[in-house]
Amino acid sequence: MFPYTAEVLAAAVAGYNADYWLAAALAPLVLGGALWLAAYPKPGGTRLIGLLLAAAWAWVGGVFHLQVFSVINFMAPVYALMFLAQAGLLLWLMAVRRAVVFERTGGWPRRIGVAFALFALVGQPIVALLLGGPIGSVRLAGVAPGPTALLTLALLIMSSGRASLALAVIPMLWCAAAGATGLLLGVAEDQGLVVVAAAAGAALIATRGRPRTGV
Amino acid sequence: MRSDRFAPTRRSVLAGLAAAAALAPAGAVHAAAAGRDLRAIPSSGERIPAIGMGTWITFNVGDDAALRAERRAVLQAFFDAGGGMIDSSPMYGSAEEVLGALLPQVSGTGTLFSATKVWTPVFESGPEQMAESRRLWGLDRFDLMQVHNLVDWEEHLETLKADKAAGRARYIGATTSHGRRHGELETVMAREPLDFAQFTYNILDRAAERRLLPLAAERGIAVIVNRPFRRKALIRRFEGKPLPDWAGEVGAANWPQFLLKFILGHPAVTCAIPATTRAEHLRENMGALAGPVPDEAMRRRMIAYVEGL
Ligand SMILES: NC(=O)c1ccc[n+]([C@@H]2O[C@H](COP(=O)([O-])OP(=O)(O)OC[C@H]3O[C@@H](n4cnc5c(N)ncnc54)[C@H](OP(=O)(O)O)[C@@H]3O)[C@@H](O)[C@H]2O)c1
Repeated sequence: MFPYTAEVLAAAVAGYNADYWLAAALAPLVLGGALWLAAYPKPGGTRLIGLLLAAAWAWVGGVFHLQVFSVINFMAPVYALMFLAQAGLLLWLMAVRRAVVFERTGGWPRRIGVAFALFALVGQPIVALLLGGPIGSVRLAGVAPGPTALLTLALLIMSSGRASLALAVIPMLWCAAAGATGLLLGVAEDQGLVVVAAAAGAALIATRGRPRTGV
Repeated sequence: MRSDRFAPTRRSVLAGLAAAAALAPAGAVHAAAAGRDLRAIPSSGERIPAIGMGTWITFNVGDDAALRAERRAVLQAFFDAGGGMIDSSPMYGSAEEVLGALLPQVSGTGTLFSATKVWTPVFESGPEQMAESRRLWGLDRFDLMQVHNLVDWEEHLETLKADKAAGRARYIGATTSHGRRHGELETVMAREPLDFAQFTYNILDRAAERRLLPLAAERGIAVIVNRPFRRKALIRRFEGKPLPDWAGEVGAANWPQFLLKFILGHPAVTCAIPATTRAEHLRENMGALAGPVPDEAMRRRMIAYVEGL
């Protein structure tokens, strides 16, 4: 049982978007840059993608969960820890160890990854609006947890390297938790998220073990 | 804002005993004392309105101005109807902060009977959490401080006893809402000097009739009934179904009142605390303070009716 209603959650997100409007406006653009780098790999690209994703996870953990969500949900500090841990993992495995790599020629994993990433960046907000959600409450990749988790999964699909699966654990857990919340509170956006994330998770597993050329 | 409006005097103790006597079964129904159902807290005789208000989910609205304005209307309706007990907890997100912000904005709050809880598995942080609750509500002391869901109750109760002695809480208690914790609550009620026990009781969840309610009566512990509507499930289940022709005999004009009257008909119950986000629902609920209260025979008839629906 959650201590808030869907209406209160939407109001909290709207207040957050208004308070941090610059971050909300810039984050999807910056993460769009990460998608570009994953699709058209450049030397040093993995490191930059790792840094950008880690920054997004750290922001969501430290600002969204700890400062905003914690006001209405006593579990938020636990979620914040999860997000900060994922930020640390992304930094370590992608920016420092480069245990994840992006290929020059990705084939169908690349196309699938791009599709999921575009959904996380623009598809989900459009669906939320089509479902009647107010524009102020739209959840955006880089500042809101759901689309950030989905975008991370999408980029991991486009990558190779042993660490991809390890980096997918927390995003999958988050999407499952968000889906359960969506089911109980009747938030269609979150119910949809868990379905898309499950498909992304399946695609990630299906694309592991393929030989690739990394940069 | 004063929250000791109902501080016991010899007169109020006598009045409380009279009210308790009025609740003794005496026919199909009996009238609530003086038109408004006030019930005595056994440990003091102080009387409080038998319908209070919960705040789980409903008052956790964060900073949103529009939602806060709606809750202000609920709070005003509560005090306009002479409301007393408001129950909250640090577990309820922003509910305590919202209450603290809204209480100074409404009138008639002199009847407030402030009830909150300590809810932390880290015993050492209990006093700090309770101090934070006082700050959030804007109170020097709570009327009632309870151990939430029996979390770490042995340790927290020692603090609560000391707080009561030091005047930081007028009454102390313990709560649960899970049937599987009834045995543990029973142990606490039997062993500890509680003023209040809070648990779930409604027309379909009647496990408390077996041991908790009789024990409360025997030990002189006031009973707060939570989840009177099973978190709206009962209202959803019965709305659209006809009220019995005889609902008026128990003072119920609608389903929420029917369900609340059933609870108030139990002589060991001191206060039921339905939660709502809507002022019109609040007024319906407070309507249960007026009119007759069903006796045991009538309560069995009420059960038979709803179970037959
Ligand atoms: N362990 C514990 O300490 C514990 C556990 C559970 C509960 N509690 C306390 O007990 C309080 C009550 O329990 P609860 O909130 O879980 O559930 P509840 O009071 O049984 O039900 C609340 C629901 O009933 C609806 N409602 C209220 N009055 C209504 C009316 N007149 N007509 C139609 N719907 C009505 C409300 O919806 P609307 O907003 O639409 O009116 C709300 O969704 C809590 O708020 C909390 O303070 C304590």
